[in-house]
Amino acid sequence: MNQTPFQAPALLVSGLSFSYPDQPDVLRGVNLRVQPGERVGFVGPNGAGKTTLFLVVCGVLKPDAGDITLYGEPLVHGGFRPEIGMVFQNSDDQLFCPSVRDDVAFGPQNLGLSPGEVDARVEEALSITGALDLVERPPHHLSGGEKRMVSIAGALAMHPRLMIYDEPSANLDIRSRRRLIRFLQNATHGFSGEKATLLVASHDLELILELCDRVVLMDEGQIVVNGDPRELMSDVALMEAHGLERPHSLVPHAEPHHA
Amino acid sequence: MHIPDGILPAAVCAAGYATTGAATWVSLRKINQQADPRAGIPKASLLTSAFFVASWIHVPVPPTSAHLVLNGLLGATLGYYAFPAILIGLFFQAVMFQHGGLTTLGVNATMMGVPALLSYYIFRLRGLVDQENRVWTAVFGFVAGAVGLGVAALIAMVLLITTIPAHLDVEAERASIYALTTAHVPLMLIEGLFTALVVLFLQRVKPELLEQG
Amino acid sequence: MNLGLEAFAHLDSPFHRWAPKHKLVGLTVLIFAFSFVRDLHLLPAMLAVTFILYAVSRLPLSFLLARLRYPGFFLLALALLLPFLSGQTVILRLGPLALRQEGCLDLLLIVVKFVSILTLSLVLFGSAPFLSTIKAMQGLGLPSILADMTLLSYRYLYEVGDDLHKMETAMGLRGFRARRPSRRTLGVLAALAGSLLVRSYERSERIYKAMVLRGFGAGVRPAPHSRERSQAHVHDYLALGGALFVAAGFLAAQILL
Repeated sequence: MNQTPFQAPALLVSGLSFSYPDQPDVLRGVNLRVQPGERVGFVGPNGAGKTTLFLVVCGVLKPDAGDITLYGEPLVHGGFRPEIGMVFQNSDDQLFCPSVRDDVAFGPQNLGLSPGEVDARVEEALSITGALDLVERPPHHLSGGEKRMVSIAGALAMHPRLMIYDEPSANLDIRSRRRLIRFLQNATHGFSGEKATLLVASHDLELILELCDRVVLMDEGQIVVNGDPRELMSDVALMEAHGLERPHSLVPHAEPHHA
Repeated sequence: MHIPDGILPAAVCAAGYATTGAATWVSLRKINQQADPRAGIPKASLLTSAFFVASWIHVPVPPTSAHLVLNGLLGATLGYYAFPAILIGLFFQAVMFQHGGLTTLGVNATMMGVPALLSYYIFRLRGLVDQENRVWTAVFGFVAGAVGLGVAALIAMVLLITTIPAHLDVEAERASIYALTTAHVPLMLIEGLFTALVVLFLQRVKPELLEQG
Repeated sequence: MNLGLEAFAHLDSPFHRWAPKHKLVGLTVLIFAFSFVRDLHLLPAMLAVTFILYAVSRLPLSFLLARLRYPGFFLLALALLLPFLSGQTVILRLGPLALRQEGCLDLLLIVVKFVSILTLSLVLFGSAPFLSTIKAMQGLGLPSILADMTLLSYRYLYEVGDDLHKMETAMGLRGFRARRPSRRTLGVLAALAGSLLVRSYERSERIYKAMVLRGFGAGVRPAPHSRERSQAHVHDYLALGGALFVAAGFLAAQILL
């Protein structure tokens, strides 16, 4: 693969601050750089600002201060940047059309594609996520795992270069969770030929370990530390200081109980 | 008070569709004059569902229980979106539960929707006094709820009595109207009270829901 | 909930195969023609047409009977009042009550019209998924704000209904029984309704964000729904013509009689 000496970052955030009307300092001076093809995990207690950060970076929320640059272009609040796609924690909030087909078609239609192209995108996205047999079903008839994959299809149909997953394994049963992890690990849905760039926030620390190249620990609106997943998450003092624990697989066993 | 199919003459049904069409047109125009009309759609839609579902709540009214109409509350919280919301809610009720007819959808929507808009204006009057004061909020909520139901019931009664039995004499007609109206007075009180209570709840928990344009 | 309505939407019958827009126009016009009828002589014809069409639709009779039950109560009230109050010609005396001819005939007219219209509307809405009927309306010119609102409300009806059910269950588990309209009972029920509204409102804010994320309102005109391109065949138009013809027949007959 041709690596240019300096590759423009997928996402560059500097000095980002944000407050809600009734909640100050949800984000305080956040700086972040994500290179194309990276898989970055976000961990931290509830209220750390992970979801807010994602919404700001997508252009849905307007920051009080700071700059965001997406693939070299500054991000304008309210502008529509289809290069970035996000999957929410609660799939019900995201599947708002009465049928799976309509929902996955929603994004491509807003891109102004022709009906034929829209249909093609829908088929492609549902095939990638293994949800093609659900295409005519109404979303409220789907199981949690199925809803999750359809939400992902809905975002993928826009051919994003950067995908954000907010608590993707929440409420999934074991089988669906494994399917999701496998899907994310194999995600090469960089439609322009590049490897997909992922940002994943999760309390499921084992998922982060299996999936991410880098981990960002957030607490109280700031990025506390940023580094290798195994190193960072083995640090007991660090994890516990921020309301976390070491994932089980990183806990040294005095009494070996694994096969 | 949803009027079923088959009872009203076709002319009345057509007139109902005409008035509903006009009221919808007016409402949509008012909605489109807002800064971002599309932003209001998710809110109005979800609240339409919520009101539809809320009307299933059984309120004990001895000797049985009643389902509330809540058009006054709808007006107070949705403003001009209340009319399309009621139209859509009635459509769902007619199609899914055969509660209210399809030929009479226009009549029913006007009957319940126009008083809802009236309730909206009544509730807004509290801005003249003191918006934050809980007592005033409760009072205006009560009036909005009672008037919403009362006017709707009145329209329904008058329509039914003047159109169905072409052979009723004037005396009997008047007597029926009085009788049915008095029967609705306790219902008006309950709707008014319920609306006031919900409005107080919303003021405490989510005041933005009461700020309507 | 409305799974009841769509229970037979996947059968196969001429109605199930009729193109949605044509079916919507055809049956709606026929329904309105029925509502125009006032002459008792047309009632047998109305019933005949209605039941023939219902038979053709292959929808089960139990479906129709179940759906007639709820609105039937209103009719029952009319049945108890009209024959005794309306009209002058007494045909039967039962003690102090007098059964009047005009009232009975009025009642007959209302009942037949009601049953016919309701049956036809069941054929219209029960022979296809609800969603496709709404899309047909959209294709026939329903304003986009109304169409969007209808689709979105319909989509979340289940969720909100589930919310209500869960909250009522939880209240019941903690001993709440709504017996008298006391201040406390009404207060609790108002809180229930209020919670429903607040949760739906908050959900709508999240949905709006999800919509914006995928380009809603970004100023780009969405391409028309691909599936809704007219795939009408000759038989759709023929059926529509047939329905309009029958409707015109009833209208003409009513005017001339």
